[in-house]
Amino acid sequence: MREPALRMDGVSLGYGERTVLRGVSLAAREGEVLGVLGPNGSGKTTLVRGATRVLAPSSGSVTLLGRALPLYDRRELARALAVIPQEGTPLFPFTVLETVLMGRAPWLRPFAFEGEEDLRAAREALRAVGAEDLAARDLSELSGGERQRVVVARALAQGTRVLLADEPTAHLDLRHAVAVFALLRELRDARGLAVVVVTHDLNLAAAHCDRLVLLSRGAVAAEGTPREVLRPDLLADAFGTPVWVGRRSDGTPFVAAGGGPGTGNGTEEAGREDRR
Amino acid sequence: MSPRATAGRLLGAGALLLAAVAASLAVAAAVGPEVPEGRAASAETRRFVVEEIRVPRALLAALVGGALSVSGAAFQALLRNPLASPYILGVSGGGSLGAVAAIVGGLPLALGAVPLLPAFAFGGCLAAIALIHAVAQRRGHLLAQDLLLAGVVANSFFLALLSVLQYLATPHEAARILQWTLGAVRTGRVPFGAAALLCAIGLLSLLRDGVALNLLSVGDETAALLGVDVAAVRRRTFVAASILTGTAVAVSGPIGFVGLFVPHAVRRVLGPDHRVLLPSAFLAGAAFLVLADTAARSAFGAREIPVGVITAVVGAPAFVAILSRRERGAPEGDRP
Repeated sequence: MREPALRMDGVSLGYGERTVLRGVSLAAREGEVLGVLGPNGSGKTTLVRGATRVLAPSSGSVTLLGRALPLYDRRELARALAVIPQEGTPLFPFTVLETVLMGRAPWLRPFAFEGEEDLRAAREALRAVGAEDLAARDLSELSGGERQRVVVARALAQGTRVLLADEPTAHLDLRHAVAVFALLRELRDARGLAVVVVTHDLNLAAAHCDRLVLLSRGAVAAEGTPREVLRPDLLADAFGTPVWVGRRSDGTPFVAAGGGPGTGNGTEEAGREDRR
Repeated sequence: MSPRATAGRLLGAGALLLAAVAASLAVAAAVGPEVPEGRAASAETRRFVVEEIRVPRALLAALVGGALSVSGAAFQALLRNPLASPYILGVSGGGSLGAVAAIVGGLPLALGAVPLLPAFAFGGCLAAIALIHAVAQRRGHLLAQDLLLAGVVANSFFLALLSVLQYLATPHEAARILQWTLGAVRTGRVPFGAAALLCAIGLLSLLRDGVALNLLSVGDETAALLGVDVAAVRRRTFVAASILTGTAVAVSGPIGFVGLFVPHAVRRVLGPDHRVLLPSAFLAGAAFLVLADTAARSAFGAREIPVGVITAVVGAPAFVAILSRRERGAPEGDRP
């Protein structure tokens, strides 16, 4: 099997005295979408900070494309790993194309303007997310769904092999959330990217991710295919609430809080439902 | 806007604005009270008035206007606040305090033919920069809210000290202080070359970080993820913008509104890309202040009014117009 594009080995990580992640290991390969799940406070955001080198692990290591993360300089890192952050719109009225061209910043020299190659990369990225017709619009005029596509395009314009999305559907309605996940799968197929999605939306993750990692209290509680990870006992323990897991007609797990349809109570019933 | 269009926009705007600066300089050279009665306005006198008085003063006004506009644009990006002005962090307050302390403290205000007041003012600015930097620094970062807090507190502190000094001043000193705090472009107060060099260094430093400033206006996190050394860029921007403010204040005392509304006006026309905005704002601010200063010294006959009055009278309504038009144009409301 190929060397994973992004690998964490026994990473422990925290803020000062407080350790948030404890011995987390995971691997994302090119051509797959890896979902990182977990309740609030389980360490998802801290994991993103470790993968993007905002925080340095107190023990363990992060490897990106076969090279230890601390060996990258800032611009090299931005050429290897693109992140779709949770951040608001800019202060000033940049256009969509200008925003996507910002993804070329790690490739620009000081005092330089973007060249033909940068423009080509930006246009391709806009085409990949289906937002070509928005190019000249002011970012602040766009809807939440359109804006998120633009942010994905900016990450694509960076030209990296690894894409890390931090809660990319947090402010989106159902249709747009599904569209974002479908887009990430498309990028996996068309460009062979390694895609890591941090999300708390279990059902979108179940339907769209190839593999899942479930975080609970700063450690990996389960890892594997959606069927292996989305088990009522594991989820109930991680989220601290009864969870029902059913199956769609294609076998994809489907998760709901509390008891399932027709069942009066929580995990026990749900567990039976799952094994059926 | 494609990259080629962006570069083209810079060239086009640059050419137009250079022409505007040249035109404003020509106006400044041509306009003004005639040579006083009783003396023959010989060609020689006229030449002296234009070449030795009006043109140097207009060049200095251009430098100050440009410096304040660039500084304002940089502070707006640094503080993530479109209402930031070059004076918001109290750098100018420190400069005024330096100048006033020298006046009241009876320090020599000239060394032979070299005036020292601007040096004291610039020293005050540097001290303010160091103080604000030390207070606002948290784990190597100059975060916007820390800078604002430190700057606003420092400014109030400086103004309080300034009031004390004004209270203690003799009537003669008080007149000098008033003259200083009103702000005016006066030649002979500062070597033009030194001021121009400081401004050039500040502007170049900011231009080098042009892309980084664009990214910072999206957010520190995004900028860092796109390879920007956020802490270093924030520090460089703070120092460069403060040096520009300090130079302008040392030359002319505080002149309001230029640094607030020129960046906004330029951004409206040319967009927010700092690689275009900063040099264009420099030229636009230069042309604006040359014209404002020309009006200040000629609109009311031989009696000069403070140029800050002109910039405020023109700038305040213009700024309101820009802001209200923006509200109609773009939905600011849904921005976080």
